[in-house]
Amino acid sequence: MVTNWLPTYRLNQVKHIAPLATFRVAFGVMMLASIIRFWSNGWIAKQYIEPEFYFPYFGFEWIQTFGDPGMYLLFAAMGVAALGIALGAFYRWSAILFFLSFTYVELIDKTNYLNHYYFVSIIAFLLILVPANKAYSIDAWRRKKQELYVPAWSIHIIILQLSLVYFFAGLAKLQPDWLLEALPLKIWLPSRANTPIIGFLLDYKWTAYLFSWFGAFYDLTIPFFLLWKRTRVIAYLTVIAFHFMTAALFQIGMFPYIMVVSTLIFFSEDFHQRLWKRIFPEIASSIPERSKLSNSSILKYFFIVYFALQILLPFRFALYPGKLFWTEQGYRFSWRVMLMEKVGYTQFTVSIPEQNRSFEVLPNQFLTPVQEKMMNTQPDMILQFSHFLRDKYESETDKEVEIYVQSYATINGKGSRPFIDPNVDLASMKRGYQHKNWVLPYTK
Amino acid sequence: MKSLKFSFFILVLFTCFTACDPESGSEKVDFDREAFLINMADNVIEPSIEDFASKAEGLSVATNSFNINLSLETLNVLRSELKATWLSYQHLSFVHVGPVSNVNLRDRVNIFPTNTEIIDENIASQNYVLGAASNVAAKGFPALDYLLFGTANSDEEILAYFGDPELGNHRLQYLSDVVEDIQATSTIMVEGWGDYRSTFIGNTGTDVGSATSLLVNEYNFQFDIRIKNAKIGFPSGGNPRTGGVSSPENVEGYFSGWSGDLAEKAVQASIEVFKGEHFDSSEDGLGLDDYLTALDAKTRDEVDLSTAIINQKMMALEEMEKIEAPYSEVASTEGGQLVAVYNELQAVIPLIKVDMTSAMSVSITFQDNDGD
Repeated sequence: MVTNWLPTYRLNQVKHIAPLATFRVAFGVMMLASIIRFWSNGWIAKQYIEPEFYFPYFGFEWIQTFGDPGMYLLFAAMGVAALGIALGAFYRWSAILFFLSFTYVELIDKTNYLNHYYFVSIIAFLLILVPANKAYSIDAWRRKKQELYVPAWSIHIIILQLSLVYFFAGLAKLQPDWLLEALPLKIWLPSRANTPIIGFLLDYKWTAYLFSWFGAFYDLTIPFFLLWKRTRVIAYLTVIAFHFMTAALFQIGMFPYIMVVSTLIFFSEDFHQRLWKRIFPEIASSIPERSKLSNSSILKYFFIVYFALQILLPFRFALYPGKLFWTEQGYRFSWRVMLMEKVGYTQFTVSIPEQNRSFEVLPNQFLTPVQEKMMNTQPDMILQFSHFLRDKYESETDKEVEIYVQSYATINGKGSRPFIDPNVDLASMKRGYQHKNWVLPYTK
Repeated sequence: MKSLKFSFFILVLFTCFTACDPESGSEKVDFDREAFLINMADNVIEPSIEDFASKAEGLSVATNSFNINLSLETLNVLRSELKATWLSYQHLSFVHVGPVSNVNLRDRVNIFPTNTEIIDENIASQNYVLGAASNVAAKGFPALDYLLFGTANSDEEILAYFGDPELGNHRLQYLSDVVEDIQATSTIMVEGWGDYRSTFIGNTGTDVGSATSLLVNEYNFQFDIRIKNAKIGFPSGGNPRTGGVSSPENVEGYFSGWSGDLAEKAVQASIEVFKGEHFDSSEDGLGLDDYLTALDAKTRDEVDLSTAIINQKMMALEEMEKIEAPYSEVASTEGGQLVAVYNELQAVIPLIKVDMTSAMSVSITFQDNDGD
């Protein structure tokens, strides 16, 4: 039955729009709140205006900050778009604008990469494709027509995407450090021992084990417990408890709250219909119609490719030799959340052979503390900063410049060890997706 | 049925807690963070500020005596008061938190090499504001080092420099102004400490702005940038890759030749602060070392991290003690000795900047983070 689920999945089944409309509103409101929070914390300037140098993604170097006031305008547009999503006003354009502006901002500097930002980007992308504004929205009100039934796939793709996020986050935890040594939680939890009420428990090792095991179990199974009607309510209470706990313990911003409201979509049509009926009692229920988008095979193949990519991306690390946590080749965009405590240190030496001159450059002259911290543990960023130094000093001296680093890193408190080959001139190393053989192998 | 499954799950978990981690004996991190912060506050930082203030007071008194009576005797007293204050600074600069950081102690009193040209110009023009950014390298201990040792070749000539009928008073005035600036700094720190103390001991977390986070980050900065780089690295030609181009004039205490004493004192102070040693009695209190031990922090070779840090610093001190001459002389003749010191100090850096910060999990930002 499971095996022929995909072929027999009918794109023309319909579902009541209520779950999707709830999701639309919840997501839009959360995004608006996130933008206001980000803005009022002064992070627009701190992350996207003040830095002298940014770490763009390979192939996306053309994406650059708009500076001041450009970035504020971009965030304002993003806020308007989030509101548009929540209200279902000019919905498709709002979703497109939100997706593009949000993704653009995230691509400016990989320093700020967070799995939850990636999550927001892809949910925003999926929202472009679904008719979430057909009812309970400004658009429906403008058209004076409430279409209460939407293709079922528009709800299912979001459920599937959420499930993948949890499941892969759980899968990533199935490794010895996490399960057998309760790392990195054994390092992180004691540092939060000043947390009110439960703080004193965090110094105990068994707490770290309990959290690790429970976390892995939770991530792997919560989508299934949410899907199954009989366990749904208790599962959702667990979702609330779990995410509020992580919010209290870690600096993870809005993510817990976003997940708490997003997972409401697992609830039944009835549940959501009752919710909407309280707000708009005058919108009467109607008879389901067949979806007009009957069996669009383009859409079908698109989603097959999309979800195949979603499933394959987290495994791309296997194409690279070496320890994933050390080289971080294939680490991002794989739902590896709260998985390791990694700290590094990098000392840059600029060498100008023609002038027989070498000198050390302190990264903090050019990087913010957060940029430097992130760079210290991520080889691709060390290379990017080396190239920045190369270009800077080559243009200043008009001579060929070599860049060497002395660097150390530690993962999960296992002790610092040499990270990047100190004898390799990073100025001459290429960026890209090829294996970085100048990262020293991780040795015991 | 469900509750049965859940009990089974819990059972499996507890079996694992008892079975999976047999070698680590301690079941919890047994460390009184508040007691640690109270020790650092009351037995390390406050007495260090008080000591600096009393030395600065001595420096001020000696400056007045020198002003009233220019003699070899008052000059030598003044010089020794300068050295005492400068040595005291080496300890205080490792606890650059609260009022110490508010007055920006490091940059306010110890930017070297000093800029003798600006000092000469200031004296000539008599028109200067020591607090101005342009004068950052024209004040503090390095400026006094120049005025009291570098303005002429012999003690007699230095006395003559200050006794000059035309410019002597301007020079004495500049000397007094620099000393007064140092003393004013110490007064602000003494006055500010009382209010800050409760803030300091009140936040036992490791977030940005917490006492532990500030202590560790400032400690590491002082050791890496102001000790390893500034005192040893630059004058000796920096790291091995800089090709041994030395610049002896960049040492601390260039004119007095106190570079070795000051640098050794700094490394010693870094050990004392690390161990939480009581400033007045050298009694071993709760320090960063005890915190690391409680956290069971180990190096790559399974050595206790706190032991490794102290041992590595002792090795650096050993190399330093081998050097008799001022570092400026060493740097201009056989830089190798300083490079040896540099290498030992450099070996401390990963231990404190990588292993220690990781073990304590200190933050540097309020920004969101999902640990990847």
